[in-house]
Amino acid sequence: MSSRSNIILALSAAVAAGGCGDISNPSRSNFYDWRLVVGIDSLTFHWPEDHTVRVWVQDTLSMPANTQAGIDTWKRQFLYQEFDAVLVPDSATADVLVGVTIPPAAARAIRLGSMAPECTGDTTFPPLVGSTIVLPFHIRVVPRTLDPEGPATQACLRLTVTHELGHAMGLFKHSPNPNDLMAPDPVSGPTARDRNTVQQLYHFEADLTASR
Amino acid sequence: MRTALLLTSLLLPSALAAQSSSTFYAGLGATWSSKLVEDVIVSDVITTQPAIAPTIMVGGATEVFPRYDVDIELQFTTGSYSADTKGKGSTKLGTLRTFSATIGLDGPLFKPPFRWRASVGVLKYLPSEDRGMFLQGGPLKFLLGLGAQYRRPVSSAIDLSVTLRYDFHRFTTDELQRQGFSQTQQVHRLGLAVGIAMGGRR
Repeated sequence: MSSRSNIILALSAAVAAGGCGDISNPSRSNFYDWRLVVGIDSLTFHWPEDHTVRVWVQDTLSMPANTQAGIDTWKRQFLYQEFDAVLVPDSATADVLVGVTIPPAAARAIRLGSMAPECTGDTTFPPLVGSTIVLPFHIRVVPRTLDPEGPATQACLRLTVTHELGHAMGLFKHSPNPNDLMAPDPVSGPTARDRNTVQQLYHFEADLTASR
Repeated sequence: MRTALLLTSLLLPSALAAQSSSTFYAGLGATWSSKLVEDVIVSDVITTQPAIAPTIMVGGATEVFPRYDVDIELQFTTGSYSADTKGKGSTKLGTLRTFSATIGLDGPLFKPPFRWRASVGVLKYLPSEDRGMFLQGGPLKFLLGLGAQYRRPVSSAIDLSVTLRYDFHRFTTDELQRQGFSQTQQVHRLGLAVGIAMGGRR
């Protein structure tokens, strides 16, 4: 066999192997509404892709570890690093405050809550100023048991702070599906529906911005 | 993996040098890769692709038939990779290294000192961080390759070599599959390296 024949044969094999279709992305059609309803408007907010969200956590009841786990859970839902967050030591520069004794953000704050058997949580932020959310978001997670360090309560705190971080990321509505992390009383998650929703949210044009 | 690469790099030349019909070559160059994934989220079209990556290659060949060699080639690339959203900009996703090991057959191309090479092997993706599409680590893929090499003597023992490589594999990751991506992406890579070759036919 001549060298030219060898090359033609090898090229043909490569072309034949490459002739199949390309990778197909998922439809992500299974998602829930995330928008904040203000009057007759449904508004979208998400953090800019080039902004690393600064999260301050009250150092009690293993909340720093639980919050870090929540941040990591949300970061894992993205393929293209659309969202990033870090814990910071200074609450004055934080975008999000997390704790068990964090007061609501304002007397007439917008409140998004959750309630599991062992703990409750809520995320608040002041009424919008035009199309601006005035930072920081306030996340409060409160144990409802006599043993806040117990494994069941700790699991609840971790799940609930992850749920509340979802609100602070822009998931301003609860999922109607009880299995989703963003259900009003979350029991597990995130699910594929949570992932689809947050991925869609971060590629939707935002109506709202956040500033101090 | 790195230890295996290092050991092979050190042992291969001496093993081949023991045979008079053996060739050893090494080179530095660059490798271009086609896209790994194209995705559509809402109306954003997102393409993930490695940047042109600096490349190290080492190889050794031994004659099996008159004019034809069997060879082993190791290649290591390291570079960044990014997600480009059409009309919106680019996000750097980190560093993506690849390691490939191929076994090939090479023979004369047109006339000396040109030679062709056809190869099969494996390619391992080594992302700097287990995140995004590499959340569950980098995949190992089957590889088909073609190539050509030009050698020109620069001393009594050493040749200058210019090596052109093309290879093809189908790409996906465990995380992409978990997130509902179906089928695989055909990935083409083209590399050019300049180096030295020792021994064998000249």
